[in-house]
Amino acid sequence: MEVHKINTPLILGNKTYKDITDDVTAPIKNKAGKLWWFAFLLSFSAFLAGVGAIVYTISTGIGVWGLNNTVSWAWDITNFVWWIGIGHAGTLISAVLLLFRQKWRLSISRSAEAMTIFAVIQAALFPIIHMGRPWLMHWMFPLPNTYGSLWVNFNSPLLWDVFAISTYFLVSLMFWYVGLIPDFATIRDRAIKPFKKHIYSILSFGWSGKAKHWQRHEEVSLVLAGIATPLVISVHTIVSFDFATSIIPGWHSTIFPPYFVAGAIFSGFAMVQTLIIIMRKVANLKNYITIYHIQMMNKVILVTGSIVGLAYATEIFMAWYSGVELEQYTLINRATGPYWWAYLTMVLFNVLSPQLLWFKNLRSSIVFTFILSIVINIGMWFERFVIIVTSLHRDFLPSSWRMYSPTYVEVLIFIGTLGFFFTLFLLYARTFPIIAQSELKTILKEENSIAKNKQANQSKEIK
Amino acid sequence: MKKDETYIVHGLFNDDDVLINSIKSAQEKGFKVKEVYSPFPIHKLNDVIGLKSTRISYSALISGLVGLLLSVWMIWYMMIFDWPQNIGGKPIASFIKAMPAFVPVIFEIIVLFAVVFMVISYFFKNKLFPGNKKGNPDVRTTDNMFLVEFILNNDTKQIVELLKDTGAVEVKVFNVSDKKEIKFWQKSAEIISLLMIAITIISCNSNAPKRNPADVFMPDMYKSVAYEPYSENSMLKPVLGTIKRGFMPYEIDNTLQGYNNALASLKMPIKQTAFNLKQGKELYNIYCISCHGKNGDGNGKLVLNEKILGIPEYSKTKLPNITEGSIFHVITYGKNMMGSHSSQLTATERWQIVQYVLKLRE
Ligand code: HEC
Repeated sequence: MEVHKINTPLILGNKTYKDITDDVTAPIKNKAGKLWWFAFLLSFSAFLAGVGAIVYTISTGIGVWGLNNTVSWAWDITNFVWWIGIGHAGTLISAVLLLFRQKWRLSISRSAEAMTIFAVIQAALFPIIHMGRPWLMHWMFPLPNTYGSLWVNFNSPLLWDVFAISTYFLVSLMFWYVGLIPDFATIRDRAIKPFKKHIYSILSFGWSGKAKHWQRHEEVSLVLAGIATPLVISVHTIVSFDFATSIIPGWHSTIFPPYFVAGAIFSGFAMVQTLIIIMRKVANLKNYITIYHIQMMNKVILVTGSIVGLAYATEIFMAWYSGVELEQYTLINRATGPYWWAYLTMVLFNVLSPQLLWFKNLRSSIVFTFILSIVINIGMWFERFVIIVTSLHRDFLPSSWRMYSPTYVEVLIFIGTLGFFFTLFLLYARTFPIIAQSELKTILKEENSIAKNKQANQSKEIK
Repeated sequence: MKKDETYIVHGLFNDDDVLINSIKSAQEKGFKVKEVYSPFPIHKLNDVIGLKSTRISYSALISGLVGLLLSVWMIWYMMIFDWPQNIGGKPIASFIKAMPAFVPVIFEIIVLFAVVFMVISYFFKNKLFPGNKKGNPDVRTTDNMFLVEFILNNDTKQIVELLKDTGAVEVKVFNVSDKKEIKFWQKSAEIISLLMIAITIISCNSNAPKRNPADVFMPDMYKSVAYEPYSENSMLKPVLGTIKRGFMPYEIDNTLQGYNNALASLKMPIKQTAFNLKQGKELYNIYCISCHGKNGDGNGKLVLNEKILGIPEYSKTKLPNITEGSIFHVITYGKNMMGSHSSQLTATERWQIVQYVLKLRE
């Protein structure tokens, strides 16, 4: 048995199998509280505002954004990378931690995967809006057409993105759904109202829980995890290629793939923290999502945050070591130019603030973790902004140096995606089994005996 | 009880360990377990009831390989064979040379195929599809209960007692002849009707006449508010005579007069060397091969695929008059259907290609 197992049970409160079912299905059975409705209406109206801004953009043209000839790519791509990065944590938790047999993933994996899917939806919106004519979206795919069948360009990192993001979305969705089926069946079998029962029996695909079925289920989950792991790394690597394969100083760098992947995990874990800290309180899941879970995630945040810090340092070193004047100027301009405040926010929020997690009492403080998780996500947003805007706004030709600032339309679109994300998440929290309860039941006995041992030890010590 | 009747015996347990012990003792008495329903996977159980290990993961391997082949074929067909577009001077005539840029897409397609087909075959094997009737005989088996099922032809008393003794919470016996068999097709009536609707919707569209002219939903981006690039007033022209660094101006005009001038008097400024010829060949194979063909016979891929026609053979019979000067002129400015290559190739590179074209003429 691993060391941590002796001290820290992952499920508290001496639960039984039935308790787990009851606790997980409670939010679905009970009526939504005032707080939920408040949050829902708030995010839904933000969503509507975003829809308005999108319609305005598309019907009037991209000119309503703050872009100019020099900074031709800013707000939308920043948000795209930010959202897709957030999404990565879900896959990481459910796939990579499954391969490493980390049992603490069980109570959070479901919500983390939901977050992945909802975040990828937000991310995908931005390139589609930026197309200007989203109804021609299918032109991104290699479909036969009337232009002599003029094909898409497989040399282009932007096309790689199309394949990466759509594959990632589909695979995450399938991974999530395969895990959900048995839990939907649990809800189906406990539903009392006929309508609800009907809906959940459609969703559960007629799951029966036969021994052979479970065996296949486990095998499929394992293989999916094995495939999703390189996939998630490839996706953010490809996102970083959007920049790294160009020749803009500050982008043209081989460190981008690992740097982006680490940043993605970093921001994604922060977002998971934000969400589950709220959820464990609202849905009363304190016995399943324990301080120990939060600590473990904080450790991941600390490690990935340090990798991100190292990447920033490497960029500085490489600018000096390469001797390339353009790179050096870009770096100095980032830190001390007109966007110095963005750079400072990025360094303070991403490099320095996670270092506080070295302290155990901060690492296990829920309030601190919550604040930190939001701080990190703000920091990671600024990281993308810094990379994108400061590289573009002063490049090779000083006569075309420009500044960029977003218009209200762009801000509204971003707020709209936040609203959309939380709308989806709130709906999910009321209708889906928010904890992978059938998987969690497999470790219940073990965890209960750990809890018992711990109690016995403690009472011995007191004596 | 009659001999030829079949009975189903269900034993319900509320603990997985008790369940396994009970199954073991039933097996010792020679009973065969028909099925076990549980709310979560029980690893120890698979050995006890003798489940063979599943081969579902092979479907991922096989479909991943299919994805590999299909994506390689698709990219080869689109980028190399059907319409080799020259974008950014990347090699277009050879899949192997161009391959590194195709790896990301190939990888994603492999993953997509492997996952989609594995999950589909998983659904298929487990008979999971929307609208399927639930398969567990007792609702509690998705909550906290474990159900073991036996099918017997004879006396059920012994097994019922055994189950009760070994800790079953509940034991039920059914006479199978009471139960009505529901056919698979009846079960999936919902699915079939859904499928039919889907097929109808899809097929409705395929043969419909094309909308003419195409609807314009939002005409904003068609009529630009800003000046179109390169139109009058569009941007400040650079000071007259400005050239970019390292650029050698080419004095002859893009006119018929200019063409004739170049033909008559323009001479190659670089030496005829093996190195230049080799460079010229390589560049030719990147920039010209898709139209003019490997041997300069005017049978490039784009001609064979009828994307572009009217490309002359370089041979002395077909183009008797052209000279090194005129070839350089044509590469620089293009001619009719042939575009200018001056932005992709430096003057030296163009001369290197000229050397190779001259060689192809022989
Ligand atoms: C898009 C297809 C295309 C590509 C690529 C192309 N050509 Fe051509 N080329 C043509 C066509 C079409 C003509 C016939 C023009 C005409 O006479 O109307 C032509 C004609 C020529 C001629 C004969 C011109 C003359 O004086 O009659 C030469 C020489 C030539 N091309 C060389 C090249 C070289 C060298 C390259 C590579 C740098 C190249 N072409 C790339 C399509 C192409």
